[in-house]
Amino acid sequence: MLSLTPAERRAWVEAMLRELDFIGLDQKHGDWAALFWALGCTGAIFRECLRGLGAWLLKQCANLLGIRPSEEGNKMNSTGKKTLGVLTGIGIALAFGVVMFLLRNVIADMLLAFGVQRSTWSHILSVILPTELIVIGAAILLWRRQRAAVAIGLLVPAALMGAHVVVFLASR
Amino acid sequence: MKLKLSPQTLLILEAFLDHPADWKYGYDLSRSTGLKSGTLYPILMRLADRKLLETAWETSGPDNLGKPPRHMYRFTPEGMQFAREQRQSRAASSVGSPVLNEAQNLWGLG
Repeated sequence: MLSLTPAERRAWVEAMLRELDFIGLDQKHGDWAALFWALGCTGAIFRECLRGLGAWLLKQCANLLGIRPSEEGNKMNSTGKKTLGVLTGIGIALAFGVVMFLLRNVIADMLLAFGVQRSTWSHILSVILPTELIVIGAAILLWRRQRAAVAIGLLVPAALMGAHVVVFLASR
Repeated sequence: MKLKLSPQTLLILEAFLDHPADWKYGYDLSRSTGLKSGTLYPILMRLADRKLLETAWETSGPDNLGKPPRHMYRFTPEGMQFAREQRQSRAASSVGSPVLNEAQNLWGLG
């Protein structure tokens, strides 16, 4: 685990391990306390690794898009952050949409097992509507957690898909 | 200073404020705040990243001869000031609550 940790977090992983040694040496705390401590630390290290990976990916995206970090604190300026947030949201929504699109035949077969024939409405109600609801729900949650940019990014493909369905139904 | 002050972060700040000059260990903080290691360490990392906490490795002395050194934490002067300001602002914001509760009881709104 130590070797997988980002270099700037190695001291913290060492710190957690040393603390674990101390809990292990001290008989009164017990093995269960040491086990739960180790599990908690493993989760924390894993999240830090993911956070490091996310930061690296964002940096690469920013480099690709030509968004420069602001001078102070080596952090991206707010416009750059918002742009990346919106693009991340669009990417997540599109990826989720593609997954649901690939699963459409599996869902149709499952519905067929329940006696629901494949039709335009079954496709809309079993694939498009749940996808839209999940994306909108995720956007509301993100909005509440002050991630408005990502939420807007999620809503853009959802709105386009919704408009596409409305136009399709209206044209029929 | 922009820092997400979750209830867990506030617990840790309070734990450090009890004896601000003393070094504290991770497991002791976990026991005093009731936070699990998976919650405690990410918060300690953020506080240290923002220079609110300073960290050090325990030096070996006669008491801990042969034991592995432990990581210790305590407030930086900025951290102490930040925690005190947070405590004051929370105390100020909660001053109105008893009065509000009393008024609600009087008007039968409670």
